[in-house]
Formats: sequence, C-alpha cells, structure tokens
Amino acid sequence: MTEPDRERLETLAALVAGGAATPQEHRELDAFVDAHPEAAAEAKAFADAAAMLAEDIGEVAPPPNALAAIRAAVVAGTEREDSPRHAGAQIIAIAERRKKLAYGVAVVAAAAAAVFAMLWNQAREDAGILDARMWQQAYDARTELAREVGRADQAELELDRMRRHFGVATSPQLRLASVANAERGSHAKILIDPDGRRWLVVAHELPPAPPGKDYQMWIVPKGEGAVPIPAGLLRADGDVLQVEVALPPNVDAGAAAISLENAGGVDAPTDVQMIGPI
Amino acid sequence: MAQALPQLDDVALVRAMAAGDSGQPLTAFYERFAGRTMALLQRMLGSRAEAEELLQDVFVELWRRAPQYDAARAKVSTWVVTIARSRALDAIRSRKRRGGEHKQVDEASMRAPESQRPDVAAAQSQRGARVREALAKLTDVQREALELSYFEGLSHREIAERIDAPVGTVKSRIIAAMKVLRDTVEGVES
Repeated sequence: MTEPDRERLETLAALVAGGAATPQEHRELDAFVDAHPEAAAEAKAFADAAAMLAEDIGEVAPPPNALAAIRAAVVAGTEREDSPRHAGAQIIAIAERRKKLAYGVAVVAAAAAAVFAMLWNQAREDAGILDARMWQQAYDARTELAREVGRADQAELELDRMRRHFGVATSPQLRLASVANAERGSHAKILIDPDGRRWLVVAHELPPAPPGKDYQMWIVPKGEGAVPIPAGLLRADGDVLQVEVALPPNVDAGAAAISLENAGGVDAPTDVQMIGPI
Repeated sequence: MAQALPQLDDVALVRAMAAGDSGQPLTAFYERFAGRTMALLQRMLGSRAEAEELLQDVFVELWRRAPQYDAARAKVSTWVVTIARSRALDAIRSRKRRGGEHKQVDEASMRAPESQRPDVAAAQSQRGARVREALAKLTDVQREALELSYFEGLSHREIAERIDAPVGTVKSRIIAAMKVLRDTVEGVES
C-alpha cells in the first residue's frame, strides 16, 4: 500500500468509525479492506476507538424484567436471522406476531367466558340476585373489548411495517434496482435505503408460487466466489409479492436474486428465477 | 471441569450463543453488556423509556447475529456498540421523520447496575480512565463534532449548520478526533 493510500485509508476508517462517512466513503473503505488485508486491522482499530466514546458514558441499570423478555423473544423465535426462514424477513415475524395476537385474543375471550361462567354460577347460588341480561352484557362487553385490543395491536403492527416501508421510500439516498428474468418476462423492483441498510423488494409479475414452494430473496455479496445470503421469503401483500430486507452488518451487496424453493426456504439457492446487480 | 460461564471471555460467550444456547451464555452476555448498552441507548435517544424498549430489540438482534460475528473485524464490545448505535440511529431517524425532537435525559434515572464483578469493574475502571484520558486530549470543537456525528447521527452538513462551521472543517475535526482516540486505543492494547 502506498503512503497516499495509507493516508486515504486512515481518513476513510476515521470517518466510518466516527459515523461521519457518506455511503460512497463506506464503499471505498470496503474496497480497501477487500484489496488490502492490513486495511482490516486499521478499520478495526478505528472502530474500537469509536466504541470508546460509548464506554465513556458509563453504565445504566437496565429494567429488571428485560432479560426475561429477551429470553422469551429468543425462545419464541428460535430460528435465527441467518436461518433461511427468518433471514431479514421481518414480514414473517409480523405474521407470527399476528398469530400470537390472535391467540392472545382467544385466550382473553376464553378467560372472560370462564369468569362469566363462574360469576354466573355464583349468582345463581345467590338466588339470582343479578339480572342475567346484565351478565350477558358484561360478557359481551369483555369479549368485544378483547377483540378491539387485538385489532388495535394488529393495526399498530401494520403501522410499524408501513412506517419502515415509508422510511425506505423517503430515504434521501434512495436508490432503485431491479432483478429480472428476460426469458420469463418477470422482474422485481428493489428500493434501497443505503443509510438504513434496508431494501424493500416488490414483485408485480411473479406467478403465485406452486403449492409447497416459496419465493426466496438472496443477497449476493461483492467479491468473487461470494456465498449468497438468505434474505427472507416473499409474501403476498395485495396483488404483489414483497419482502423487507435488513442487510447484515459488514455485508456489501453486489447483486440480489430471487429463487423458487421448497416452502420455508433453504440455505443455498437451487432454482434462481431472477437476478440483478445492486 | 467446565469453565464457569462468567469467566468465559467475550468471544467465547458469543460463540456459545452462536451455537444456539439461549440459557446461561445469553444471561452472562447480557449481564456483561446490558449496562453499557442501556447507557448508550439512553444517551443517544435521550429517553429512558425508549432506551428500555430498544434494549430488548438490540439483545435479540445480537443473539440472532451471533453466528455472523467475526472476531477479526471487531472486538465483541465494538460489535455490541455498533449494533446498538445502529438501532438507536434508526429510532432517531424514525422520530425525525415523524417530526419528533431529541429528548432530554432524566439524569436521576441513570444509575449503575448494583451487581458487578469486582475484577470486571476494576478492568473497566482502568480502561475507563484511559478513555477519559484520551477524550481529554480532544479539543472542545473536535469532541463536539465527533459527538454530534456519533451519538446524534448528524450528517456533515447538519453538523456544519449546527456549529456554524464549514463542512470541510467539520470533517477535519472528526478525522483528527478519531486519530487521537485510535492512538490511545493502541496505547491501551499494546
């Protein structure tokens, strides 16, 4: 590495670590690291230095129930981001949360029914002091309340999803890419938010996946022989298929692809339908 | 005899989590990093409530990304800070889009965890002293530019507007500040 190269590397590593680099400077540093093994050590040194800023803050006691909540979330979502089912596919996570919400609503309704039954029996034993119609109204009110809570939670989840999509679409650095298959005449658009390292992939003309199959998204890192990274399953949303992708750290995507795989996804693509540069 | 988990180094803990163990390794990892992560989130978000909410997301993400951790590219503490900072910046950007403002930290809500191993505390204290020593070497304007960039995620242009200085000057100050910190880290590690 020449001295000017070394100085440029220092500048780039300092800017990236300090959170002050532009997307182009990020890419330039990645290129340095790819080209010069010793550059990785320099970038690491600056990253460690930047982390010192955080260490200077000290420590703040976390909430007492946080670890239990984290463990519950980890156990509930036993599959990791690097597993094909869940790689970056927050839409799937939302679907699972919706199922849990629906289950939660059912549990609340069942609990309300049980309470109602208990109170009903008690009331009967107490010689029917209370009017049965009042108990029925209370039961109906509880059931309706549980339904409304479930709807509100679902609406909030949907709003979160739309906010993320809106964030990608309104990113100041927004870029548009596409993957396509000329023979099949199919293509998908990819909205890229380089700052947030998120993609929103939308496919308008894909035929529905056959039974037992799913369309799976892939990130193809730059570099010769790079192994594609599973990035989630495309899901129907209205008349389009889409998936939201969160790029793993330290991955510089050179291309993207969509493949047709067995339901649930696989570790490595087998039937690539569309591919294109990023 | 198996090594007690609290004695495992940071990399070994991450590898245990990467192997799928969400039991003791996750607990030990959390106890080691939750306090400083919480402090970072609260510093960046300016709200304890938001920091508490994000803390859970950060640790779930750390567990999920444990298999991708590369010790050659970053120390574990740097990896934790990088992910926590990235999530906090996401939250800040999201808040900006919704028209929200930076909140003031409730200083009274900040306190150190009660349980902390003495050896860890001592090591952190020594390192903390070196960190403070390094930060003291920065000029006020260097530190200001670096903190606006690192903690608030402001662009060069935004920082330049905030501190009424040319964009090139902002960049120079950040680069100079980072070099001072890098030299200090090398001094601590060597």
